Amino acid sequence: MSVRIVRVLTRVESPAEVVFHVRGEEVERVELKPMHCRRVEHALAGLPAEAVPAYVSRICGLCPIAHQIASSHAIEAALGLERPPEAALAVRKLALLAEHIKSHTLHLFLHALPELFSYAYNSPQDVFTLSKAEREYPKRMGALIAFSDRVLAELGGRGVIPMISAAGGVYSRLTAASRDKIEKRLKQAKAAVDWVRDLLYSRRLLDKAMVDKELYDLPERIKLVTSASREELWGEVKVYAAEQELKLIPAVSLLSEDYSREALLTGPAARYLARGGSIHGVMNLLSHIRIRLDEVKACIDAVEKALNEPRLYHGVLRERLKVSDSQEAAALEAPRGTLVHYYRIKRGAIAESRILTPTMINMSTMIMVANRLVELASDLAFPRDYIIGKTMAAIRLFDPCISCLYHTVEQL
Amino acid sequence: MRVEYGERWAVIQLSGCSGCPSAVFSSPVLQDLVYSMPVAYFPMVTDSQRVLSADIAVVSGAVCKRAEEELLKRVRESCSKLVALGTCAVYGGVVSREVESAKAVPEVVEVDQVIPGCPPPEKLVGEFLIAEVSGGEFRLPSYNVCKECPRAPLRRKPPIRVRYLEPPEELQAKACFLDHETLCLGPVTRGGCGAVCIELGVPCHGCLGPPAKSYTSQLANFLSILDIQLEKSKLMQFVSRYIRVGVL
Repeated sequence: MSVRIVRVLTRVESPAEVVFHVRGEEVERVELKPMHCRRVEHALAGLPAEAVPAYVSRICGLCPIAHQIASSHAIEAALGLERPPEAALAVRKLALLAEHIKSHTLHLFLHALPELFSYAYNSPQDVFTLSKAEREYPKRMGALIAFSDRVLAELGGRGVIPMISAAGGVYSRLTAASRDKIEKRLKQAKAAVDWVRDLLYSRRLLDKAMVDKELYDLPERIKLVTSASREELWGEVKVYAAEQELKLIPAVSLLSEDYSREALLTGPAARYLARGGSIHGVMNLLSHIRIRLDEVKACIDAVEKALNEPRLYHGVLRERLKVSDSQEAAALEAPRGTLVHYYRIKRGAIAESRILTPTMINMSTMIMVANRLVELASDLAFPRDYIIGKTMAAIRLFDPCISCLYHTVEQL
Repeated sequence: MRVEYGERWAVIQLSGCSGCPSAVFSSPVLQDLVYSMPVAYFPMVTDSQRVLSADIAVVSGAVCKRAEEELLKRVRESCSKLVALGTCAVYGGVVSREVESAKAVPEVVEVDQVIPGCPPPEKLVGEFLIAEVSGGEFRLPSYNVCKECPRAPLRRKPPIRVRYLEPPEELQAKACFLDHETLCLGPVTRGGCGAVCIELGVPCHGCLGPPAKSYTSQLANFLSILDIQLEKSKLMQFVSRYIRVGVL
């Protein structure tokens, strides 16, 4: 007879329950169940279109900018603004880069790296134990957060849920004084990335972690992928769009030009395909850490380059939108993957909305990975508790943004 | 009640966006403080499976499910001090717009301290933590957002005509929003946020709640001095963006 073992999935951005279906000592399959609920789309009905970006940034306190920008683009397109002001595009791009740095930093230091350190110390680790044992740990994390928060605060007043993107443009531009404050933190942020990189290749971590070679084999050089050359990267997003009869507008992309169709997809879906689309690539837990670190480095370099863009400092910030009845959807690269916002607007208010978050897209792959881990570990006759622990690790390293997952209970 | 440095903390997340608990990692000053605190339960960053006893419980998010209500009651019983962090926990916040049955934490259990805000201002969170670890006293500001507002004071006398919820395009001046017929809840909203939104040209939506106890009565008094020329539904959408009218 099969029994259910329920564990709280910890070290993720909002706790969830993982249900293990167990027969004897063997784990048969795994399910993920959110513990909380939201109904964001329900609350959006009737809201003035211009109020949406600020509201949807409260879907996730870790990736509010992605939600702000995706909703802004969709509403602008629906209300006939073909292209927001140049200054707004530049500000949005800079803010999104900063959000990627912050989101990945929190994921690395709070959720992922303790997994590796638990091998080195032969005991479970977290950010609190590591901050005591490894003096550099909180310092390096702090340097990266201080850098990203400075960018966000200079553009949107604060580091947590800043006010940056509005329907029609942005609220504020960068000033020369702001640029100086950001640049002052650049060196320490780069040094923090180098520190993590050295750590990942250090013998004291890898020698221990390689006990689980199948899961922690160090990945080869990671190639960042653009959707221009990899049409299939849109995967489930395109299926969803077709089902909903939506026309997708690729919005701001990170390392490619604004508004081009060469959207660089990030997050586990892209990582999966970047490694040849093999299940082995996804299951290599260290590769998730390594690729995120590469993305942090790429984003810091992109911020440094972007600070020299004249568009950030001059020009119109926001266009007033006309009130009309229309509908549109926009897609965006959020830190965890592809984010889609769709709105139908009637007399200036939201009549209908759909928000497809990266974690919703990643959910099926995460569960597939978790179940594949269960199969693999069962074949090798690992103990049940070991399988449970590793499955939870796989989910938290893959995509820990459970807040985005349960933004609407109706879609679960 | 005063809790001495070295006592154990629990950080509990209910339905919300995770922005409030993540805020403690956003300030290097706070980080030094946070890392030196013994943590009994903080599932966002530790592997704790269930709440054991703690001295201080910090709760973010609103109560939407029966399991959350039961958890909150257990936390109240096992922790000597309970703090509601963020507007969802204190007033129901955006979650109470989405889930009709959602409750604020003080509607379910007695709380010892509230720190509202969406997100709670870093300054207030910092002052609270410093007060806790040093044995000092923390008090929320009793002044309103107008005291921190970078714009010029209101010049008009009641009744003040209000025609806009978004400032008109040409309004980039430094005059009070209400002087430009644009609704701003700054006069009835607790300060402490530094008027960040107003600095960016966005009128206050009242996310920190009222400086005094009752949101509804403060709001009613404020609206009574306005000559509101807006659709009632739009007005209600605005004033209940973060706090459900009638709560607390």
